[in-house]
Amino acid sequence: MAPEVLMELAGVWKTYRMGEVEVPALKPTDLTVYRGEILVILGPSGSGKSTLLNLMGGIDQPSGGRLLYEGQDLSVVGDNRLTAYRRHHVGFIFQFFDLISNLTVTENVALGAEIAGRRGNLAPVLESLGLAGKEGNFPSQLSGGEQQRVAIARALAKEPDLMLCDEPTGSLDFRTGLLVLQLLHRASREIGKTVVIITHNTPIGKMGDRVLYMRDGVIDRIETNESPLDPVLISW
Amino acid sequence: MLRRKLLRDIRSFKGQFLAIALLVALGVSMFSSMYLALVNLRDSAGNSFDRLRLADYTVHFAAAPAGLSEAARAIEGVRMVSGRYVDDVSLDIPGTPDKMHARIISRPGPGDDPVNDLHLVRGRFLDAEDRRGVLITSDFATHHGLEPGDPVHVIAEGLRRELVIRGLVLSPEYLFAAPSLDQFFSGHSFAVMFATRDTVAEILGRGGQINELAVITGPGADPAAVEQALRELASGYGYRTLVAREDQFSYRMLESEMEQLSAWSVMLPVIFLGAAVMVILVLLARIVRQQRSHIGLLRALGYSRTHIMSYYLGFALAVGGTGSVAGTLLGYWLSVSMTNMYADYFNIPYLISGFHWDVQLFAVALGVGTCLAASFFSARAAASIHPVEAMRAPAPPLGRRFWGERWFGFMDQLPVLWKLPVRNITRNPWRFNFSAAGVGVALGLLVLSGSFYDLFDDMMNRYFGDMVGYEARVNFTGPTGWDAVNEVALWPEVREAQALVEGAVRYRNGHRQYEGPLTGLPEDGRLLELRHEQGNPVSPSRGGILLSSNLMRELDLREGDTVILEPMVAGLPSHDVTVAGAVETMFGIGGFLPIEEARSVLGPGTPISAVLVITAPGSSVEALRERARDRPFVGGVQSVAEARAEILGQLDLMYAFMGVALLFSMLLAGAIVYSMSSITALERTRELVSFRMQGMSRKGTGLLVAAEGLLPAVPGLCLGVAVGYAWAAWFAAAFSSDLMTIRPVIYPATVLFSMTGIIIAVAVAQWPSIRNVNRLNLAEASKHRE
Repeated sequence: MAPEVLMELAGVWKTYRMGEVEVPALKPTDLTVYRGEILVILGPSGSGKSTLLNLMGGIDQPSGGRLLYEGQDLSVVGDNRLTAYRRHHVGFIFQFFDLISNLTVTENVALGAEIAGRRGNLAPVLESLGLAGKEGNFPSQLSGGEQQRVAIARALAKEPDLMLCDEPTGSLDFRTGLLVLQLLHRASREIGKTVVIITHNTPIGKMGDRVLYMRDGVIDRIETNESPLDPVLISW
Repeated sequence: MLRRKLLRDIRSFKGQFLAIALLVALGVSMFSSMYLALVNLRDSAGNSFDRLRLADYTVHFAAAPAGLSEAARAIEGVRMVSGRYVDDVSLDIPGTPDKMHARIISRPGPGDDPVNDLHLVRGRFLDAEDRRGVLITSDFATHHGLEPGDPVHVIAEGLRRELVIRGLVLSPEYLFAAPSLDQFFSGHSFAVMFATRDTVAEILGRGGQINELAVITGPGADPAAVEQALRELASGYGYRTLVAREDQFSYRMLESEMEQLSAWSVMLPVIFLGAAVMVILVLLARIVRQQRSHIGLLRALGYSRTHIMSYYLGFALAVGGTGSVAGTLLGYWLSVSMTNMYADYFNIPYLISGFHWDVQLFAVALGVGTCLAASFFSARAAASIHPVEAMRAPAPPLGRRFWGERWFGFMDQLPVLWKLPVRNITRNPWRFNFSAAGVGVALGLLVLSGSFYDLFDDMMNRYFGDMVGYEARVNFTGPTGWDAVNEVALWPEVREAQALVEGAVRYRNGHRQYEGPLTGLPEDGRLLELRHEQGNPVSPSRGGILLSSNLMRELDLREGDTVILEPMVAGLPSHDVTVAGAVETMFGIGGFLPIEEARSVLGPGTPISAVLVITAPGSSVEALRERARDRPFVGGVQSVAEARAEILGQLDLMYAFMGVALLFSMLLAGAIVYSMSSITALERTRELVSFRMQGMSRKGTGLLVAAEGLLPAVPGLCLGVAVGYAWAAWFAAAFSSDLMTIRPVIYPATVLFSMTGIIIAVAVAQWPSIRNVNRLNLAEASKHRE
């Protein structure tokens, strides 16, 4: 069966104005993202990875081209529609976790669900992420790995189709980073989430269904992994 | 280089910088304007009193030969003496509906010194031989459209005599014109006129006599000895009383106003500069936290602790300097307006309105010093950061539940988004407390300024609503008895009439004494209703005197005690009277006896002073005036409605003060809330961006920021009401005197109005923060870590 297209970028480009200079952050790019896949984006700093992620996540709009999500062109909608898109379809995971320091684990996760207008029992999500027993803790009482797991739980609690992860292991040691990657892997494989991971870390590319290499604002190449690895088999 | 960085920091925190500068400017301008006005008022009053030689003592007695002045001048310590004859008469101004109350005073005669001299506003002074001319106080003349050359009719001793106004003058004794302490709101119905001694003698039939000595003492005079000698001198001529300059009515009114100004010029700047201190503490702590890595880098590059400390003190110096300079300029401008208003209100003849460099420099030092002191701890903390430590990322903030959540169990059930603003109190409790305190103080200030109207309105309502039951007061002149009262009662324009006797006595309790008015009222009278402190009506009855509560306090008397009443005319017997109770008098001080008892205390032949009247159905005060116009025993008819309207018309000073207070309070609340909420929003940029990225709408983040900004307003408003009541109570206690008894009253409408004003200010102050959050570029902001 042919994979289902979730998002399609057609000639999407983005320039930023830095003072009096126009900086091309992303040159015209074509890309198709499939439902349920793990797409790893690799590239050096300034290669356009984050710009691509921001456009896919609807926190920025392209300067040109078409960006279709489930057939809807996000490049022409207003702020309210983009907000609704992020609310209902996108879960973000950041390098520095971005948890609210004075909300407990449960409350941080519930916040994500509330924004998306979802109500329900969060215990299974927390349990599946190994956070049982930590529900009443504040972020300052958690390790980095635990904090990133809370961030993943928060993203999952929204029940998004697309999970966008910006250097999710960047602040973590190897063992904890691996644990986080396993959770993202499970999210894709067990509940069908589309996971896009930006990283500097080349070995992480081995867990992706596809690996997208970026350089100077263009997609240099896209490699398809015939047999993506389980993160437990990756080391760096 | 550091200076350039400082300028850029100021630019990046320009909103907060301006808010602090505004608070400093307001505080400094309050100090500068009020203190300058105080200095100007003091200088102007002092200069006017000195140039016009206001008497140090005025001795009142029944009558004496004019030569008594010479004897007074021989007393050791006395430098200048002027003898004069003073009496109250009726004044009939052609074209006006009624006769008015006037005081006629003789000008110094040959050999007299120019004590209580006059300032000519228009026209000319009197020639020594002028038998028809009169000078009249300019405020009264202007109000009634009188000019030099206009005729006026003086009615005294049953005779009418036409005089011609030669000039309009200001008298140091009557800058604030009132016939007596208990009638100080006589406004424009009381005139003071000056005529040659011969003219006064002719009008009053008192040739060659004086009944007052106005005395100025020389340097080094012993006041007690001079007072004693003057009393002894006057004792053979029906000595009544001796009034020292400090107790002189105009002087006291000005002193009382200056006392108030002095208190405000300290209290208000303390509030505004205190608020500036709060904001500086919070802002600098925030800047230091944000710039930890910069500090580390600068220290690593070799900048000393002193450099770092000076850098942060430089911020305070810049904001303090900006605010102080703006404040002094604004203050000077306000002080000129205030001085002019006071000069108009008090009719001060010689106005001095200076810039006073010393006051302005002190104001600048006050503003800058406050900012430097407030920034000292943050600057020291910044300077003491270790470079290595500074370049490391700070420890993550600790999370805590809000203590109130334990008490309010329902909070657990609230959506997280609702809980978040409450929980954020715990992030920075001091900031929350500062904001609440700022809102509280601003509201307190607004409630206090609003309460001035309430206090006054309450006094007016109690006086005109509860106490005064009559429509008009028919004042008698000359030796008037019950036959005149009976005649008035029978006039067809009169439905009800009640006699009234007024005079002055000396109240004594042991070594305490007070010279004040004694009023005689019919036992069954109901047109002037006295009330106990508790509010229940009471009438004077035989065998006991009702004393105003302020007089009870002054003499340390209680109900059942005995008070000695000494007539002011020497030689008359004193009376021991039991204190029957305390009554509330809004204006003035004194005692109340049944009418005949009062007459017997005041001395044989004491005339009836006035008849209080309710007009007959279909009649009016105008008709009453028409009837009374040609009756020789009537000095004038005062309308209660007109008196009330006139008092209300004299409240410009109060309204001006309230307007400024309203504006400044709203600015205070706005500046504090803006500063705190914008600092909070700045600190939480990343967090708010994260909310937006998760799909929270602009409206959602805006509401969140607004809710967090408004939350301190809740305890702030409660605090503000309490602070407002406490200040109003302080004001009422501090400024109650024997001139008026102020009761701390705040109407609910004042509280609601004030709260609304503060809520509007707080809401408006949130707007920049909400707008900034809504304008965040998510892609850009998500790159930075807070």
